Amino acid sequence: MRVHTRLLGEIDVDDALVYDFPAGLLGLEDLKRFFLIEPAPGSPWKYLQSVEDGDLALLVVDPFVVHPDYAPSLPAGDLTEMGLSEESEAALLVVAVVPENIREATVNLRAPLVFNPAAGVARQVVLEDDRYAVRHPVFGGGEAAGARPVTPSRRRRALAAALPAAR
Amino acid sequence: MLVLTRKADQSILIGDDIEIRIVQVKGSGAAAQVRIGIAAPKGVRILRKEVLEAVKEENLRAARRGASVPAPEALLSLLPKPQAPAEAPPPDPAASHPLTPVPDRGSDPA
Repeated sequence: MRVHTRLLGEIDVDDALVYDFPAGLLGLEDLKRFFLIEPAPGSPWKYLQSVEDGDLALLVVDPFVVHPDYAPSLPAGDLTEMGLSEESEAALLVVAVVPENIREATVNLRAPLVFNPAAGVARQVVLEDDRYAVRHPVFGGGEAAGARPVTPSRRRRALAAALPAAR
Repeated sequence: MLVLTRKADQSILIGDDIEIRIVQVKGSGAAAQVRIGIAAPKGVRILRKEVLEAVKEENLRAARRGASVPAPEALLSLLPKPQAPAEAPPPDPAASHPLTPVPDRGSDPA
């Protein structure tokens, strides 16, 4: 499939790399199909590129790199809707906002993007969990986030890292 | 919008399987607060509306920045390298390909 993107110009995207977001993203409900662009091999940062709107790409990141203890409880209804039988099958990414001062970058831990890699389906799940902020600073307290010992959900991290991305 | 008056411990039923109970009413005027209990099937999404609105606003903020999304190399240098997962899945074929550094709007073919 030929897709025009602002980031990479005109590119060919394998249909298998495209994720359906049946509900769209909140505020961007008209856009239902996205794929991931990996700016560097293995990068925890990726772009979530809209198929329908080539100008629209969101910067997303593996949440466990920013917040090693991230442990959202995903509502059963959301998992079922995506054809996931358990949480561990889900891969997570979170949307980042990077202002001009890069050290003020934030990620939305409150509403992770949950992927079912096997089915090619994803949705943004809003958590009813006050521990996680819509604007969680990437660089908390002046030192790089993640300086603490890494005790992530390794399986999920592995899944997020393995999410197929376009190039 | 249907508007009903209820007292503490009274309920409203929505459909066959959703119950909304007024658990407690305290304070008055602008400081008044109502505690509400909700019983609903597991699959029903229950959210405070302001959270949903905040997420929507944040998505739009991210999308607006999308017009000039930063190359993440700068961010990369400030984050710890992700550790190789213990039970790493088989290498993703897509990951082994070199990727074009982005963004470069100038390379847009005519």
